[in-house]
Amino acid sequence: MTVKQSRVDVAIVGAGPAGLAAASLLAREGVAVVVVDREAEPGGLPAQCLHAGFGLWRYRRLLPGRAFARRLAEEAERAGARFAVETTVLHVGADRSLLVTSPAGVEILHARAVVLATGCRESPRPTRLVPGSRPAGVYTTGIVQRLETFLQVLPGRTVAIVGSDDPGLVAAAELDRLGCRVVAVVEERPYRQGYWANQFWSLSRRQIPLLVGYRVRRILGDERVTGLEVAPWYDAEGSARVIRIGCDTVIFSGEFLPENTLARQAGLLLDPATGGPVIDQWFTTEVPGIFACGNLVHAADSADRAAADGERAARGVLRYLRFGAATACVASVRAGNGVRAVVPQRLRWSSGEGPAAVELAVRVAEPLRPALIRARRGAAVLGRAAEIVAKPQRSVPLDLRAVAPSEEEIIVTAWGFPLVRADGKVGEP
Amino acid sequence: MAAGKYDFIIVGAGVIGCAIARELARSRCRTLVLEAALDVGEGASKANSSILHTGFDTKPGTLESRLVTEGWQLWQEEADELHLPFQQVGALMLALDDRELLQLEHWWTTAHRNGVTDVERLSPEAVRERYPLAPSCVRGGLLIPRESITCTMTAVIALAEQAAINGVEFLLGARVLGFEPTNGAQRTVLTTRGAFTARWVIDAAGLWADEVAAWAGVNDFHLTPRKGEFLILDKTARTKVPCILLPVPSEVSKGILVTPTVYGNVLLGPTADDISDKHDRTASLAGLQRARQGALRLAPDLADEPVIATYAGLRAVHASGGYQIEIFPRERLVVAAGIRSTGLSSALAVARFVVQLLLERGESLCTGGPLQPRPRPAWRPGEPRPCTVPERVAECPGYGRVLCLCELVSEEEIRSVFRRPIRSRTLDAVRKRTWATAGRCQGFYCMAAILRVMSEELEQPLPALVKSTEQSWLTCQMAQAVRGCGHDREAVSR
Repeated sequence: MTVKQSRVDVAIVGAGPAGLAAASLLAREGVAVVVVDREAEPGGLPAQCLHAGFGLWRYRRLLPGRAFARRLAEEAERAGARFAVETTVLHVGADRSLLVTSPAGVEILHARAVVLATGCRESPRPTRLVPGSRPAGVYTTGIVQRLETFLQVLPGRTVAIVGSDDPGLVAAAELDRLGCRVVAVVEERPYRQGYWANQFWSLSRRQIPLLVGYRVRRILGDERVTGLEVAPWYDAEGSARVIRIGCDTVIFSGEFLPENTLARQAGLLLDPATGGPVIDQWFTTEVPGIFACGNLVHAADSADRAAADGERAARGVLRYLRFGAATACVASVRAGNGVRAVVPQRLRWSSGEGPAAVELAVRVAEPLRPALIRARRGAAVLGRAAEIVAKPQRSVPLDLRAVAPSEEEIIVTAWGFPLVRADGKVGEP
Repeated sequence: MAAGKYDFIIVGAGVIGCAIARELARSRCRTLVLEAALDVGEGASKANSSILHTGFDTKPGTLESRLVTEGWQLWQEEADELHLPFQQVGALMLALDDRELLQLEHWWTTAHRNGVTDVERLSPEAVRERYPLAPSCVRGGLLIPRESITCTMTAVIALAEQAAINGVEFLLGARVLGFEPTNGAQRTVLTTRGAFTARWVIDAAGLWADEVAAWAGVNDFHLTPRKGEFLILDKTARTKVPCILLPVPSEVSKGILVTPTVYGNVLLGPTADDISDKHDRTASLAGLQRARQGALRLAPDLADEPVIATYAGLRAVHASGGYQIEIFPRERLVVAAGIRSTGLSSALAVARFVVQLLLERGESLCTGGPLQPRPRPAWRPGEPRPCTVPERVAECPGYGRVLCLCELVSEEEIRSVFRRPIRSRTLDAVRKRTWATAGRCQGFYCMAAILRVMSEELEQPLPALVKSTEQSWLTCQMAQAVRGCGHDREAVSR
């Protein structure tokens, strides 16, 4: 049986905020774009979120996730982007061909440029090596959002959430609003991962306790979850201060991993620090013509940030379609003292090109308060950023105004007072 | 279900119970299989390492040794007809110090005494040729070329399905409570789903075989649970593991292995801890770390491979250390007990052995009778997923709608689970038959979609769906007042 083949200028994999924003911009520039997504409706992770909190950067207002997703999709559609929904990409080739499958059949799509915007997912329970039995009622926030939004059911009646990142905190509030009893949010680290505002609005106002610095000892229950046993993180194996939380549902939140399967299959070089592909300031991967953006390259930042990434990646694609790949001069960006990861990991210039303006996304290694972040090249400081509280779970933007073409390495360092003091106490509200 | 008289009642639908059921189906007698769980293969059979052993390391001259060797042959002959994967990947026993190197000689002799004569002693260089990532301290190895892998869950399902279409009745969710006193010619089993009478009862209750036998009046053996904890690694690890990697066995157990799976993952484990509680299938952090450490001795390069799933299982250990397969004519009972981790390999031979015992008691059973073939499943492990095959998507568009992205399971494959000869209704049943939600995301993307399909196929509301047992409910109803109010809010904000 011969497989149908077709051609397109740009194929975007993933119709989340990054993919949709890239599609809008490219389509406005008159490029033939197709956005491939496996869901029946575009929107990515925001489309499964009922709560408000999206779009402050892009639309200057706070929208519910579904409305934000719908606006992005409508924008792309109006601009002329084509959607291939219920379509799963099986393979991305280094020759920029996509093998896709859908109810219409298996098809090969040849593109001049491919943008990978496959996003991220949470670590499930097994990856976290949580001991105990394996009853029903152990979920991740993502699963719970889908149950609520698409099936209109609740994961359980009495819920404990493990992980204090923003999705976890918001999930607590959402479940409380929908009629569940949220008994506790447990955080293994000695500090809260999400924003203080989220703790206030989601937990304090609803009198949901936040247990910071408690690790899960085991999950209880034979058929359905009956409880959760937690202990302070410094209490290695002892059971002196074990707390038993009675609940019928345990939700693991956060610890996002990039959805890098396609990137890996395509043979892209991955950054061990982020798990996503190595990219340059134009979001080009090490394979010319294949781009990567959004939470695939820095899991997980906000949907707004992913959309902003998508737009910048789209500019990179336009540049590539017009002038080809930039290869004249390559410099690497390295994470130095106090920094876990930096994206982009490379800077590239074409021949005859002048200094480039670059925005780096920097992840600190340990939480700092405050944090001073610097990018240096030799003795010259290329840019500085200060952040009141920097946590490893979100990127700190660092603007470099003008980086002249040179192969000399750029090193990004962070300095600050540790948020978690040696005695385990946390110096923030 | 006609609550009438049967020729045979089999207690337990694990790999042994299902294999016996299938063997009895050749004789067109009336057979009933009673299973406490809501699906077949939910006990020890589920937590097996899926290796089909040649029996090279069994104790020579024992019943176990004979049945494992014979069982391997039978699987090789029948796997294809059962639509089962049978991958002859081979095994490599690695000696990491001088003491272990000496012991290799012992295992070479044992293999020959067990009739496995194709084992081969390897020099460290020859080991590295086959397994380039071998630890640097490797001193030698033993190659067992015919050790093979299958999928233990699929194997039980295949046997049960073929038994079912050949007339065997399966009653799931029927826990045995006891027996009525025998009248010498038949036996009545009392279960949570009624009483059933047969001429013979076959006890294949795995870990609980001793208790079932005791209720029937046979008190001469005792089984202890031995816990094994496993870790499953993501598919990226598979390229680093060319074959099954074995340590040199200790006195207690075969040790912690590294096994490629037919799904393309790598399995680490099991640990071996004798415990007292037969219900205790909990995983411990110490146990999981031990499984990991043990495996890393053989494959240090797996250290940074992500773990995608963990589980713990219990295997039944007989006081004698081996199998006990025996007929008790006065109690009208056949016992197949102490079938430990080699049970998957020996299952088909155990079934023949049981039929032989019954034949000796004058039952008119035929041994080589033909069977209706098992209906072809939508997909079998090891072959390309339907969504990747243009012909199959063209034939049924449902194959093109991928629900589980990690394992590429299509909607049609999930629907087909509910049209098979053994009709199970649990989420775990879907997972075992399609491998959906068993990949690296463990349901992050697909669980909601799968529950929707299940609810449609079973014609049950979502809150009625269960994971594995009656009380393992998955979701509950949202109050009417808040349903859809998120969508209203969205309309307002637009």
